[in-house]
Amino acid sequence: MKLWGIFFEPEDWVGFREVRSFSFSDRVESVFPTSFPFYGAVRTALMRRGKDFDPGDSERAGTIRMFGPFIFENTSDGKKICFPIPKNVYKVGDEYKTMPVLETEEGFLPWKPELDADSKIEEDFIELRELERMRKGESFKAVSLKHAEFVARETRVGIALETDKKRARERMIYSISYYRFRNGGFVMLTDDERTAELISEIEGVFLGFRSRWVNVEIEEIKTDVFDPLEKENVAVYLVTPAVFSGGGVPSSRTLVGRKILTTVGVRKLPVSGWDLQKKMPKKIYHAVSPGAVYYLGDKANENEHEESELRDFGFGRYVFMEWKKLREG
Amino acid sequence: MEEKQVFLLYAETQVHAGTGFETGVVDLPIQRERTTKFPVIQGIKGALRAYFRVNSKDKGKEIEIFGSDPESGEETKPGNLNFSEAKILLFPVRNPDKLFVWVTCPLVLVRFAKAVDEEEVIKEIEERAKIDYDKCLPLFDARKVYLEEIKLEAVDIDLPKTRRLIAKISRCAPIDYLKNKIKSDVVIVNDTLFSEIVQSMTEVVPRIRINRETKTVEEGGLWYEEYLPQDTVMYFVVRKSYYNNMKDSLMETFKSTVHGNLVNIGGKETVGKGMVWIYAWGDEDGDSQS
Repeated sequence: MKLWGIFFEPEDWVGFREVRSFSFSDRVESVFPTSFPFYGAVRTALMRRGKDFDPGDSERAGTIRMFGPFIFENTSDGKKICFPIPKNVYKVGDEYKTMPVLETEEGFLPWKPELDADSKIEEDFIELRELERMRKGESFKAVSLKHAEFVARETRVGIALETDKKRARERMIYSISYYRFRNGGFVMLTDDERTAELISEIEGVFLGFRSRWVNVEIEEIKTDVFDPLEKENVAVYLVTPAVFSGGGVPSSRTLVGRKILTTVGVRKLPVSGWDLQKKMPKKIYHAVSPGAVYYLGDKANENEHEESELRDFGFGRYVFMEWKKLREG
Repeated sequence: MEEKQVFLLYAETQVHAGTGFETGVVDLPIQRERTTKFPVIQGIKGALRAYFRVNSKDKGKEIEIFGSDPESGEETKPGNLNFSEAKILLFPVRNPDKLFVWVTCPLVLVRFAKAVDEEEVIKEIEERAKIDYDKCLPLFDARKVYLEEIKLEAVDIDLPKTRRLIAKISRCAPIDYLKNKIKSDVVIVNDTLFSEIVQSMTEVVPRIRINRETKTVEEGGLWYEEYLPQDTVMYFVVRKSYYNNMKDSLMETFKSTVHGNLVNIGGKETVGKGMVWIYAWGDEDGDSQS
C-alpha cells in the first residue's frame, strides 16, 4: 500500500478545544484532536487556492481522505512518527510485551503472565519503526508523551484588555492549555493519491483554536504496518478512534471478517466539534479510543462484516498484530 | 508564496511579557516556550490593536484587521489578519571586549529563515553550523569569546548566507551605530547553551511598594520582576487569514501604521518598559512578502 505522511508543523503553538462550553474566567483544556480539525483546515486551504475538489461537509468527507492525527519528531534520521500504543502492551522491568490470551471454559481472556508486570504503563506512544518490530514479534520500545522532549503541554493565561486604557477588564482572565512542539508536530496519513496530490500544493494551514499557522509538508512513507497479517491468531489495534454500531464492540461481534474473541482497553471517547457552516455543535459520537485491541479468531460469515462509521474521516483504522496463547501449566 | 509579512521588534527598553505570579525565585517571570525555554511574547495582537486604535483612529479598519469587539453585543467577526507570537531572534549578553554581543543559535536561525523563506540559509545551517556546547561561532575575529562568565572557544565556520541574513536583520535597529554593531557583533552558540543563556541572563529587577504616609516599604511589598534586556531582537509573522478575500489593502494599512514606529508591548508601561521599534521585513529592498 502506498502511503503518504502529511506533516503539520506549528509555527508556535496549536490547541484544540475539548467538547464543552467555556467562557472568560474559565480554564480550557486542549485535548488530543480528532481528524476533524485537520479536514477543516485542509479543505479551507484548498478552497482558498481555488482547487477543483469536493469539499464535503460535516458529515461527508468529500474528496479528501486522511487518517490520524499522530505526532512526529524531526530528527537527524528523518521524521519519526509516533502512534498511540496498543493497550495490551505491558512492561516487565525494562522489557515491553504484548498480552497473550488465556483460554478458559467461559471464553478468552487477555492476560499478563508475569506477577511483577507494571499494572499500568506510562508510555502512551510507539514509534513507527518500533511498531514494525512489535508486529514481527521482536523486542520494541515505547514513548511517553509526558517525558518526550519534542512536545509539551503548555498553559497560557490570558486577560482581556480595555484597549482604550490598556488595563485588564474586571474578571476577564482565562487560561488555555495547548501543545508546543520543539521540533515536530502532528501528522496525518493518507493512502489516497488524489489527496496527496492536492495537499502537495499547500504550504500551510490555519489549525485549531485561535487559527494558529502550521506549515504543511508531504512525504511518502515506507511501512507495512497497515498491511493485513495472514496468520491464524491475529489481533487488530485501533490507531484512530472507531464508532461501532454496538458501542465498544461491533454488534456483529466481528472485525475484518473474523470473530472477536476478547478485547483490551476498549474505552469510550466522546467525539464532536463545532459545525462552522451550520453554526451549531456537531452530532456527538461515542467512539472507542485509539489503542483498543481486538483479539480475533475464526472467520465470520460474509454478511457479518462491519466497519467503523466515519471511516472516510479516518476513523476505525487499525494495525494488525499477532497474538499468542498462554501456555497451560 | 504565502501571503504574509514578517516584522522584527527591537527593544529600546526592557520588555516584560509576563505569565502572572509564580512561586519561584522570580515573582513575575516572563513568558517562555515550555519545550525550549526560549522567551516569547504571546499576546502581541492586543498591544498592536491598542497602538492601531490610538494612531489610526479608523474603527472600521481596526475591526477588519483585528476582529470585532466581543463586548459590542453585535455578531462577532474574526479579524482578517492572523498574528503569531513574538519569538526570540538575537539576545544581548555582556561581553568584556565588545561591551555586549547578541547571541543566537541554529534552532532560532532556522525558524526565522523558515519564516522569511530563506531556504538556502536553512540548508547552510543544517549542513554546516554544528556547534559543540563549549564552542561558539562569532561573526567577528576572536579565538575565545566571553558571554558574561562563560568562556567559549571560537570555531571558524564560514556561513556566508547566514551572515547576509544577519546583515538584513540589522536594519531593524533604530540607529546606524546599532545597525553596524549587529552586522559584526553576533555570536552563534549551541541550542542547549542558548536555552541556558536566555534563562539565566535576563534582567531580574527588585521592586518595592512604598507606604505613602510613612514613606517606608509596605510589609510584603517586595517582589522580583524578570525582563528581556534592552536591545533584544524578536520577530513575529502576520498572515492574511483565509477569510481575507478582496481585502488585500489591510496588510498594507497595518504595515504602514506600525512600520518604523515605537510601540508599547507587554506590561509595566508606566515605569518605562516595553518600548519596541517595529520593522517590516523586506521593506528596504523591495522584497516585501505580502
